[in-house]
Amino acid sequence: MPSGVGTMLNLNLITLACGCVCAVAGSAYAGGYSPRVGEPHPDFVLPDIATGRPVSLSQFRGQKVLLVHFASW
Amino acid sequence: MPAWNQEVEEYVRDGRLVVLGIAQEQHPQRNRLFTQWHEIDWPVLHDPINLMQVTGVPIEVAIDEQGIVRATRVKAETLEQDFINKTFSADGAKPSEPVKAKRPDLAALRRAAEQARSADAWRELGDALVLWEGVAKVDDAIEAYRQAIGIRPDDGDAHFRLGVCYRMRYETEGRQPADFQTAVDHWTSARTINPNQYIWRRRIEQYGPRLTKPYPFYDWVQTARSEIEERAEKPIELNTLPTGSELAQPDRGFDAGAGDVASPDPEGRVFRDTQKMILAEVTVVPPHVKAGETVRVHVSLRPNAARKAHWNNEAEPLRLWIDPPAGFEVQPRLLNAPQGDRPETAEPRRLEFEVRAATGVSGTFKLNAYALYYVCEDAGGTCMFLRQDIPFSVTVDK
Repeated sequence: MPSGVGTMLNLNLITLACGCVCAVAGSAYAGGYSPRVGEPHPDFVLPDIATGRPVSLSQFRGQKVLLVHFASW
Repeated sequence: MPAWNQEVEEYVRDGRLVVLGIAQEQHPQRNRLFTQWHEIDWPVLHDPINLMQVTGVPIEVAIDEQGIVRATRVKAETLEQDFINKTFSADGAKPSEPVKAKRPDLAALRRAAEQARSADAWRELGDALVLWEGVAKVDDAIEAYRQAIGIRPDDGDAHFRLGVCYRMRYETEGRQPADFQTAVDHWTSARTINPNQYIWRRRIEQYGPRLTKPYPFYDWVQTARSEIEERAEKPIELNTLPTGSELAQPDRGFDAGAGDVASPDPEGRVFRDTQKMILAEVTVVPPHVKAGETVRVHVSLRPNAARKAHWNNEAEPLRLWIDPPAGFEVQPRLLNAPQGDRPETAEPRRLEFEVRAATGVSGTFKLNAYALYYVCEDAGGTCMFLRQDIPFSVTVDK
């Protein structure tokens, strides 16, 4: 079976990339997806896998969104 | 994933919820086949470079009408009660207006990168080029990520994404020599910078030895195709079929038993392919290992289009023989490539084998390998039986 399904790893560190400066002086550059409850989810724009059209999180303002990160491997 | 699909179907239909998938997958068609198979009808977004910087999958995040994260450990049983039916804005504030999604302005990003000369700006340009222009601008994306790495050599994301670009180019006609190896090298650099990045690790494992595989990555493809066909639908076509290591079962053993297999040209008497009728390329995954560890070696053999070369399929199949140095083991030592389906074909042929480094050694070790093949010049032209020596190296770290 493809996984993605199954293994849930710990999330770590800092915020989303999206052009913000995440480098910490003196340490290795380390970004990481870490949405925090009660805080805004960083916006993003990615292509729809079927149509190539841009889709952002902020276009769904006013609606509840379930964001599902997954893989087909 | 399929479970989520069923759980949320009703809420999506009622307009009470938007489900948005983000796929960590280099090959969009593979993910489209996957979603077709599972009849996922909510939008799925393509993130081949891990722009989202997720360190694992799956992750589900519930986000309210204002864009505020309400749960990061979402459970299907409590989703309706804890999220769908809940009002989050205590003060009754109206959500801000939706913002139409736009493609990034590539020219502006380029200007910003050239002016700011910052790693972030170059990486952002690279990201936009890969995501929105893909293969068409892959050379520019490579250049942008190289600039980013030049400024910040320990940018693991830039290394990973640069690797994605090289692998992407390797799968096109515009491929340059060593693109696949360069991809693996950058993925390895990324993994060294952050060994806990699960998505990066998996990308290397996809092409790596069976020993380090957690499971076969794409063995579901055949099942998916046939189940989709049973539903009288046409499966999404894959432009890059999973092969070799991508389908291989994990295997903790290493059976080097060559048995009675012998070198097919031990004295080297077969004429060499001095005109490069066939172009050979070797990729070692991972590029270096510790003593006693295993690498998977990918050999690609491609008829040289400039010479109008093609395989002669009315003869013995292509063979590849590997001669390891003392203490190194190879499995298998002799490989045969499948023949083409017509008398003359020009498809690339890929063969994979694994090499286990000797114990108690370090340094760079040369392995000798050679291929024997029947190849013809032009259509109806002269056919020859030739040998090509394809030496490669395995680096064993201390």
